[in-house]
Amino acid sequence: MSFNDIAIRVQNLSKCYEIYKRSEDRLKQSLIPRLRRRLGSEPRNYYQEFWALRNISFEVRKGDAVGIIGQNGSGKSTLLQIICGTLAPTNGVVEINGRVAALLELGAGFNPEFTGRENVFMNATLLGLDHYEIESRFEQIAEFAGIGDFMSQPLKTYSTGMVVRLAFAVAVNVDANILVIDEAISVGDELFQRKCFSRVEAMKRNGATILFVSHSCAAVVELCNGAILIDAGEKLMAGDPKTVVGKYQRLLYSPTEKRFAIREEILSSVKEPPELATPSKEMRSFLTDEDRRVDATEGFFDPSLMPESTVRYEPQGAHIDSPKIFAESGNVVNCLRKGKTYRYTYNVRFESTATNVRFGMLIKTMTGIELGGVASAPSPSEAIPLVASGSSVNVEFQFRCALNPGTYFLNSGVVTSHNGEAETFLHRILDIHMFKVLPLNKNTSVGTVDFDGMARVHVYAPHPDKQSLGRIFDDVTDR
Amino acid sequence: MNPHQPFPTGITEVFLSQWRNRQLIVQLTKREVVGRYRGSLLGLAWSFFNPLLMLAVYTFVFSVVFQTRWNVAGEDKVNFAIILFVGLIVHGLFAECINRAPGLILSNSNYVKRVIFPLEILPCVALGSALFHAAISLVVLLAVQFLTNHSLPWTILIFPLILLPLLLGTAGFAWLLSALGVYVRDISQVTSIFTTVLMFVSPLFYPVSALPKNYQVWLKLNPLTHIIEEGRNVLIFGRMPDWTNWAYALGASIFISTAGFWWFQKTRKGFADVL
Repeated sequence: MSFNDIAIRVQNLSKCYEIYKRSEDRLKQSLIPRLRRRLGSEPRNYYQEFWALRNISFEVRKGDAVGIIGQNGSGKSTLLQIICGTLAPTNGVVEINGRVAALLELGAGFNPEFTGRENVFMNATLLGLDHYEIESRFEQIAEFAGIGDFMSQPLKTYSTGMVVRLAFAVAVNVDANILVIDEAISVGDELFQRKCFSRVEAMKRNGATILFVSHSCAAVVELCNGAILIDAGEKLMAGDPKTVVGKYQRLLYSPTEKRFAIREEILSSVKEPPELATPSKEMRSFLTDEDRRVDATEGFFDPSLMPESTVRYEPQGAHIDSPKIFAESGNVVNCLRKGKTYRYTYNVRFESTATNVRFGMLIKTMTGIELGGVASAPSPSEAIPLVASGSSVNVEFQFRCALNPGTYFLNSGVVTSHNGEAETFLHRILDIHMFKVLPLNKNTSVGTVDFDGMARVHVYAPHPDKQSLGRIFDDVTDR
Repeated sequence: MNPHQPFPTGITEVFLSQWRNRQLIVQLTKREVVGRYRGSLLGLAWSFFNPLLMLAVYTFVFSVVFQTRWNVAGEDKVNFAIILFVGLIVHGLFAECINRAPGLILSNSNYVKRVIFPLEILPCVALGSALFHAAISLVVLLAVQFLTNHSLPWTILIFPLILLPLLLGTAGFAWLLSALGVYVRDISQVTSIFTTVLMFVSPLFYPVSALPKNYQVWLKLNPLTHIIEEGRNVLIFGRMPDWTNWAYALGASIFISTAGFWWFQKTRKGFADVL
């Protein structure tokens, strides 16, 4: 492949930080090893090495959007800084083909004493625009930032979100060929995030290359057509964003003792792909057989997926325990596939006799919105009339997973009522269990709930001969 | 500018990089000059009042209190202050840059870590703002001189040339110190002592001729001596400078600025690691 198609080429990049215990060691290091070498003796080091990056190589083609994911401290930001050239690598080469606009950390090198306007001018000058070019774009930038009169205030009076807005507005308005975004967008409010994403999409369509670091896996899947997983300074894998995000999440939620094994597994499972996934120029792409195969699986069990927000009510004569989700095959899972049917079960141990007993469950979003649930009987009068003390009950709720990819929580509860009085909880546990709906290949459903919807698009183009409109293309989204 | 290439260190690059970034230098210098008095009621007028008040104080202390004489023909009270003031302007310009240099990169870590910034212009920006204040002082000096003597020597036009070696040399030291200051934080302590000492071993408060002959040689090793003496010659006494000495000074200052620039460019790759 010729270099003309490549926007960023990183070869065997390593970065080693020298960690000094005392500051005079730094001075010693700069003098003594050289002297010793000159005197012919073995030089010794006064620092400890910390390898932030080890032997990273990849290429990003023009027009690609590549997400870099990894845990905090895995070396993502260091990598971006080296690519942007603000940090020098210890070993390795970076080649850049095009004008880079970077949003490194927050604020992108703004001066807090300067006004927004002055910062825009300075930042754009640094990105290679001359005064007149900036003048002509200033309106555009100000409009995108949308911070109003704050533009003429010093930056130190801004909120974090406003700084990011301004930085982003400059970065996307300087005609950069390569846009490097480090986590910055997530600071903005939701509306601004949407605005950023759509602008980045537009830049992508115009052939800009995007390098994107985020902890939001959803954003990486949505925005990128390639992803790189970095862990402890090493590139574990590169490839299709969904696959990479899946592996990342597996790694992220893995218990410490299993981490190493999972890491090795990811490393060995990946045959070094020759290059990143091809950008999909088509708006509508169809599922491959592989996609269908993956989507058809029942999901899997991730032992690390345990709720930390569990709230247990004081038991009033019954105990709920052993919540589980079964796939149709009978396997225990907690990573679900959309569209499949699952069974959610738990056991209830009765320590005293109860009348008119009903059982319930509820599925909630991460933010606590109650999506829906099932009760074992429609009303107390139709409930189980009597459960004897010492009984054990297994409750099973079947449900179809009509939810879009995301994380969900489950509630459980047992109620009783006595002589027509209001129902009271025998036991209730909030967030007793959680599950995840796995990312899906080419999902056309948006939001939280999947209504099993389908889109039909009829395109009418003006007919050259007749006055009428001719129907030239029909499309039904692939499900 | 490609950040993935080694930074050029050549003698032409010393000037070329400043020329390429002239817009930025002007912008930043302007900001710094205006920013210094931002928020104060009188604003930029302070840059006039400062030298004016200083001049008044020096006149009082040295002429009235100490009754110092410069021992040149036709001097009166104001003239002594003016002669002193030339030295103060030159020393002040140098000292301000040198004192600020070690902190220049440290205080602008944003420019090191977050953007590709032509860091080599920061010493020039500091020099630019110091030069602006020196220029204001100079205007005050010439105004007072004109009011008392009713004339100005034409040789004042040569003064910018006299200043040229000082500017180049100061820039060179500023490059050296600003890069060094990133790695060795103690530098800024040393510079403030150094510039204070320099104030007294330069002929600010006395002419070179006031010293015994065998000390004069040592005083002349101080590069500021030459600049200050020649500055007085052209600004006050209307004498032509010694062009041979000037040429030597220029040559030396070009060497210093190139060496300082070379050091800066060689060490800047490590800035981000240390900050």
